[in-house]
Amino acid sequence: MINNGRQDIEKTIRSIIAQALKVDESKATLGSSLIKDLGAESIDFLDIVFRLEKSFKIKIPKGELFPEKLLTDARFVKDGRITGAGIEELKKSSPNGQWDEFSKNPLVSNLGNIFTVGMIVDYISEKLSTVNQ
Amino acid sequence: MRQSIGVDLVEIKKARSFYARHHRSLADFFSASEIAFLKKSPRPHERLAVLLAAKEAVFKTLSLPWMGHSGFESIRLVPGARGRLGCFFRGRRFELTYGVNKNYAVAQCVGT
Repeated sequence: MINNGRQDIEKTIRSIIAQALKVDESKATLGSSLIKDLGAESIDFLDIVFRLEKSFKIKIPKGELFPEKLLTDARFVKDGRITGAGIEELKKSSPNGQWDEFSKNPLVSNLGNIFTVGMIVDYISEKLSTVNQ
Repeated sequence: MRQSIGVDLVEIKKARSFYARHHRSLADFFSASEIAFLKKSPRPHERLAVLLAAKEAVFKTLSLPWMGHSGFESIRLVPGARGRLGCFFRGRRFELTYGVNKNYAVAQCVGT
């Protein structure tokens, strides 16, 4: 499963997410929010990370897939909200996130809603291209 | 003094399936004492559900989203006598209570 094209990666990830969240694969589209649309909880995020690691034979370092380090950086979080600089930083790491929507009310507590299937596909594609180089 | 509360539920069925599939990876985000707390039980998946619900309840108390593996790891649950749990996060102590029935583990966290 290492030398995959983007379409294969997307297919595998959609299947993993559908199995982990027990939803129909057709619902796990690139734009689907894991929490808002597919009902993911924290245990599911852990499950998905472990399944991705096993399926793609990679190690996902802590803080890479989900921007947890950013949340403890005072430059990027103020009064429970992600700052403009924080949103720019998030856009760099996950260009396909629904950042315009998030920017309207950038509460830290809303951040989970923007994790989409597409963001995971972007991350894994990038990760595998690095591994294959 | 302002107090905040966080409550979380984890489905036992989900925890059982997670434990069966990933029990060898628990050290990625649980401390040795948390794993010992879990393995002391004849039904470790129930304790897994308690630990996950407790950590999520701490996030909710602080209005933080789920913060990935390292967020979970940074919350240290301290098992005490008779199955009690204490909690430390970012230098603060939180009060935790929990309960389990056949369907769910529920944890409640109070922070000041």
